[in-house]
Amino acid sequence: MDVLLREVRRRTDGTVEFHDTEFAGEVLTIGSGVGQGIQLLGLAVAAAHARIASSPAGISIACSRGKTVNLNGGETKAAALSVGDVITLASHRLQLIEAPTGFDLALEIEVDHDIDPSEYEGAFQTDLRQTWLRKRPAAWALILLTVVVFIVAPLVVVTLRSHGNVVPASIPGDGLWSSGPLSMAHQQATGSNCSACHRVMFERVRDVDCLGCHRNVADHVPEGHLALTKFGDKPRCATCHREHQEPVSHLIVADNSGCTGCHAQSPAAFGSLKVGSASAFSAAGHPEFKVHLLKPAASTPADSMDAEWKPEVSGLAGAVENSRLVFSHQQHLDAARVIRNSDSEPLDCTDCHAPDVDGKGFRPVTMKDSCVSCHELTFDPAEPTRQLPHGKSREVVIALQEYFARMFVDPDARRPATVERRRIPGRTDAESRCAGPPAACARQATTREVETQFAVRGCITCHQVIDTRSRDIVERFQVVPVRLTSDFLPNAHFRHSSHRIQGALTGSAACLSCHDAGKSRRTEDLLIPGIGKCLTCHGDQPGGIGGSLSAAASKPVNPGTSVRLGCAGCHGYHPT
Amino acid sequence: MIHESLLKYRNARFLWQALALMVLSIGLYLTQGGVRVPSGGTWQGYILGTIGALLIVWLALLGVRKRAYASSLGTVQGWTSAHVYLGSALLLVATLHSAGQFGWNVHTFAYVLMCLVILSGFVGVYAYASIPQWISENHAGGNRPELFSELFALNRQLQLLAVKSEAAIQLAVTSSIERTAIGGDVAAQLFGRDRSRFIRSGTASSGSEAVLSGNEDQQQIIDFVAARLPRADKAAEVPNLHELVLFLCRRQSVLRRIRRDIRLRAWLQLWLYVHVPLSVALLVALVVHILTTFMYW
Repeated sequence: MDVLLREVRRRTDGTVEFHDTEFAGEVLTIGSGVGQGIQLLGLAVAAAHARIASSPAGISIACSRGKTVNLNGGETKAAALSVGDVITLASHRLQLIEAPTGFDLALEIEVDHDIDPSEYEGAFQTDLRQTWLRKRPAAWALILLTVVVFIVAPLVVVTLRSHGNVVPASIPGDGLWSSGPLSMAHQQATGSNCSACHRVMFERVRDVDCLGCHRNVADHVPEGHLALTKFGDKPRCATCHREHQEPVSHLIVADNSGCTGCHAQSPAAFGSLKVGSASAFSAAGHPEFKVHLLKPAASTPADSMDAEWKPEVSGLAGAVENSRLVFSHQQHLDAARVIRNSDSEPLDCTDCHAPDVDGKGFRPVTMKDSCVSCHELTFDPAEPTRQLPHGKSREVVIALQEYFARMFVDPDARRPATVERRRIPGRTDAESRCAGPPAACARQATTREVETQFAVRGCITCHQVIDTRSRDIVERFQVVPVRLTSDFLPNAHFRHSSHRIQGALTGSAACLSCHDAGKSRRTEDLLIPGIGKCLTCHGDQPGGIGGSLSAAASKPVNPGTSVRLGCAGCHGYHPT
Repeated sequence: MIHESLLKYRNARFLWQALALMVLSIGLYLTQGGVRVPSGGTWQGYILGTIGALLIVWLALLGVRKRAYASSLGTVQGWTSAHVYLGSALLLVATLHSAGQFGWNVHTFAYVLMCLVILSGFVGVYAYASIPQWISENHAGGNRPELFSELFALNRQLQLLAVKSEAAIQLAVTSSIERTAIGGDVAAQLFGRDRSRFIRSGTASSGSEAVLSGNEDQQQIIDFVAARLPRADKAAEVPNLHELVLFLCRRQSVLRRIRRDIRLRAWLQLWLYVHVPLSVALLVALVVHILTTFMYW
């Protein structure tokens, strides 16, 4: 393609000069860059802006990507050209004129010389705005991402699930709205289904939705009692049970303030309810313990067999245990008087008080487990393997009747002479003293043995026995039932297994450091220590000590090493 | 310097206000405890969250205030100073609001966006505090339009001189002008790697082939022309070559300043390409965060 380039220069005196140059090549390039067929300056002119080419179909112009030229007054990206067309680029003007002979194309070029040479910068990308970097599209993309991922997708998943559709877990659901992981139990129970608890949107989780699963949870205070106080409505479950608070689990917020919010207030706040004030586990902040003891109800005679027993709360000072047992801890712990059958060692506490499986308390003390290994119920030295039944006085008498009846009536039942004693040959002790008919002798022997067992040295050793003076020997003696208190402080948890070692003391010595059993001669002695004992190791502040204590037993173990004990260390909120 | 005074605006009054806000926020945070485990859901958490949300909205309004030329609501400089200090305080306020509880959720997403916005803002503060000074130092030889005018003139001058030279020199000089790279895409502007080229060919007698050679910092073309000086065939050629070398060196100096100007301005602007889109996304994420919090209260 041969092109005549005619530059038009208008001089100030109005004359016009033409400068002709020739161009030969395939493509005539136009742009602000050096090396373009026609170099035109201007910030709007790209380095390689447009190309004019010839083809069998004619002459045409095509702009680089994103660029345009003004062709006869209209912006265009590409167009066919014909003679007379005017191309405007920036303020430069190019017009196609009739090509002289020997040329394929002739262009009349009117360069705007008012354009400053500094606009040569337009030939280069010199600003980040000219690159692919864009603030607005980036912002829109991020907005779209946020809305789609965090609003649209979860809403779609929630809607699909609510219609029973199974949505793959890989699709982000409303879990993206969760403010933290659930506790494992809740995670499993709800199957990560948010609406299991969040039933109503824009409403806080309702207690009723908690109680849907936790059916057996009782209120801390019956609503009727709460109405007597000035504390208003009962708190929401979520006040103390805070979910989605990982990494530190706060499913149970066991802070004192949850309790002291009410319990540190003056008794007046409790209205007609009698509640002692407690602000912390310290001598000043916590009342002395109150024990729950079984007491015969006032309506029934205290020593009656049919007494109705009810737990009664009483202060620790002067509290009297009323088990109806006759027992001296002091005697049993005296090594000079009592030793174990098996190894002849002094008794340990655990010989009678066997720890519970959960380590909190102890299995109930029973005759069978705790006493019988020493206190056998033999009654005839000549028959050391025969033992009386334990538990029902009537059966004891009948057993003795049967024993003696058989002994006096059945000649074959006579025992082998195992006891070295002087007696009539072929007769036992009992038999040797009775010369009457066998039935009378048997009755006499029974009566004598029953009286011995119930009134002299058998049952009476440990039990309270009522002598009804009945003529019927079976009905005459009645043993008052034993009522052992299993938990003196039922409103507090105390784990004995955690306290088995007391400083340097272990074993029975550790037990005795709290329970003063070594000096207790009477069953009525209550061996429950007071708060002062606990405060020797525990306090309301870590490292501190509960307060000034008057009790001699309350000297701190190691001052400044107190173990903090919050309300929930001993007390539960929900009644069990 | 105007950008330093951004931080020292009115004795850094907004610094003290931001510090006061931070101290108050820490105090408020510390009152949490007991059954109110520190989190965004306690009343303290809600207050911190509200402060944070209002801060974010207000900080974003700088973009509006900047464009409201007729506004008399404080000076833009004052707004920007407050923007910087209160934006920094926001980092603490929002962290206290979150109570350090993070996870794969929209709440942490909003927090991360916020952190990125603030961190890019810190980059911006540093950029505004240091780069303008370097730019004006670089402008000692003229600002950018002047530099480009000079470059254009030098190009013309060199082209005229080249025409009078032998073919290899002419090709080398004109090709070095045509293939001078300035700026370019993002990486080219930021790191200013010079991809200029020129066509190196032997003399007519040696007849070696023309090769496209690298011409970083225009050094090779200068060396190429200078190397021809001692071997000039005609005495008349020498002054022409002298002039060529002289102009090429001037051109080299102008190009260095242009490149440095482009690079500095690119770095001055770059943080905004992160800061602005992320800020807009943060506003949306903030709305989603608040909405979803109360949807599943």
